[in-house]
Amino acid sequence: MFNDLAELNRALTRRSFFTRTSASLGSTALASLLSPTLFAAPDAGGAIPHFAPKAKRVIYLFMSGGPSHIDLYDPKPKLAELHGQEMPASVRGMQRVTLMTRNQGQFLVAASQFKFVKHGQSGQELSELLPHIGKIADRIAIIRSMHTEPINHDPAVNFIQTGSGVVGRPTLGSWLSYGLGSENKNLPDFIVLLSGAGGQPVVSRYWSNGFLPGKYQGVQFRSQGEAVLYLSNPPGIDGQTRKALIDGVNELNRLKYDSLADPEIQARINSFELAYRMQMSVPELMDISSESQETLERYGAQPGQASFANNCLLARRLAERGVRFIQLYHRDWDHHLDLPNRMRQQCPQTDQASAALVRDLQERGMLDETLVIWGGEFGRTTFNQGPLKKDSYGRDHHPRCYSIWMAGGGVKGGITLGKTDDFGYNLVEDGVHVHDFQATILHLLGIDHQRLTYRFQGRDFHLTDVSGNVVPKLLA
Amino acid sequence: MAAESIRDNALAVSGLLNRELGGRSVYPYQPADYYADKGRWKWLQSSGPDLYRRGLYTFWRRTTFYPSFQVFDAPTREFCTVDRPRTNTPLQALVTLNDPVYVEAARVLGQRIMLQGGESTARKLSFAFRLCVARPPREKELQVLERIFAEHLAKYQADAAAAAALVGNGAAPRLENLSVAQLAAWTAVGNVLLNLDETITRE
Repeated sequence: MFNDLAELNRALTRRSFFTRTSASLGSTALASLLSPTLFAAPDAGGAIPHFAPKAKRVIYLFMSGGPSHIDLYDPKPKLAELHGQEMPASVRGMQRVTLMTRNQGQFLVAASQFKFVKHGQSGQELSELLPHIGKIADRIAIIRSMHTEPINHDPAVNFIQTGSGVVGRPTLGSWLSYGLGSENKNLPDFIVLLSGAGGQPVVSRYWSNGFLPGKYQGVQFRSQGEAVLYLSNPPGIDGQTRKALIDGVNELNRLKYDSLADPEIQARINSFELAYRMQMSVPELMDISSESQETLERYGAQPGQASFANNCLLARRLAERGVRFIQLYHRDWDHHLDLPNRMRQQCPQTDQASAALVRDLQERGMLDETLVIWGGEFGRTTFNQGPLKKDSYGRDHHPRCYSIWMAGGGVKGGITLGKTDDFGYNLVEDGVHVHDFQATILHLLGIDHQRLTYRFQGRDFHLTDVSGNVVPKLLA
Repeated sequence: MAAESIRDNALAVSGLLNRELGGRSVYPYQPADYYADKGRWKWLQSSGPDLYRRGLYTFWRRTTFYPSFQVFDAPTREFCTVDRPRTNTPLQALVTLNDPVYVEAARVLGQRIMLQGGESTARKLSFAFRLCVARPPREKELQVLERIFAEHLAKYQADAAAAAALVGNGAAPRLENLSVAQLAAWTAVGNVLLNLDETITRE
């Protein structure tokens, strides 16, 4: 009798009905059956990549809070003589300012206290706060003309991650894992690492899959406690027992699969096998003490500590293992007050490791296929916020223009793109809007941003919404 | 099933589910340091029957919400959703295998099997299987389960410390008169049953 029932089930199961009758769904299911790994087959359709990609993966060093472009990447020598004077109204124009400075009554120019130094053959100019990044100046493209729309942190981070200031859209990493699938068998496609304390909170929405299916969600690998939530077995279950129990689950699932032929069950079996492989591989991955002393020193990494340096080294280890999108967040760049002192603390935490990562990737022959991005959600104002002293000033949020850099993965090294005015307040040349930036990243990965879509609530959504142009000057 | 239902189901099968209607949100088990780097707000874990309320009463913080629901495609509640996607990932497997609420449910299910499952091992296994998937096991399935039980009974009889550790999971009280090794082996069986595709999927 069971056989009859099983036959009936086989014929009537809703899931198998759909997978058998719909050609598109059926081929997706077949693809996932044939592929060696659960994540391998991209769901976005067969046409991707749309053209030959330059980069295979991205490491995005996100500087949360909005680092000051005027003190790091965009020298404005003429400001020295205007220091302490009111900003000309013509420069400020009708641009909005935040509530934090709107009522302070004056907008006094605060010239940077930091010297700028020329580096390398390209002669790229960088602040003395970034001596290590200076050493990779010939490999990076500095964009001085980034601009965004929101003026506060959370919407601005959302905007650069999802292309929308409204929450709920998928993030860049989710779009890429949806579009490209995975290159590895043991790890998720989109991994997030956090460092730094204080400043603006970094929330899990910044690696949300939005309306894309949950398997495209970024996975935070935590530097304290368990690297991945629920990776460790509970008390009383050791690795061997876990293996035996997972084998038991899969054996029973396989019996069910044999009677139903439902590809969803096969996917479940794969998931459990992958979970076990993650249990085996992640602790080894997260243990950086196996790196040479020289490597640890180059990054400034210390095993067992939670730091940006450790995360940069982990990013390289993840890249080596084929993870598609590695997103670091480093907090506390929101320097409204006492900016020079806080920059002197913040920059050494990030400068050395960022540069070490690029050099390490290059030496291992991986830089050509790995796109590295360094930057925040907006820049900071030329005018002072708070008390303006001889040796101290503060800066408010400034979305109108700011600086980031990119390296490797098909980006031209040793160039500075874009120009701002003598105040570092307005764009003059080659503006790169957030949507242009996103379109360029997708382009480097072989994706036409207008053709990577997902239908939700009756509309085909893009990362770049309805705008965005690839920036040809950035391409190698 | 949806995120909340998967948890509710595990609690219901074990007999832990608190079916009370209405009231304030509750704070079930969550990794202790989950909010450590997410601002000043603290997750103050509930106790007693509040640990076992239906998933719909779990406190929902939109920016950083209950991680076990998040991996099962629960929406962030930042936009309207008429239909939740259903995915199938290794992170979900890690939740139903290792999240304390599922381990505790397996342990209390084990206790229930020992008390209510009947005399023979085969009867107990059929009882447990039916609780989880609402049908009796087939012959082959029963054989697999019998083997899993026998292997783990031997293992936990030989390793009293591991058995004690396994039956010590979760806040729910444990009946002291039950054999620890037996309960540990039934907990292992419970952990397998609560992770079956058929248990967490509604056809």
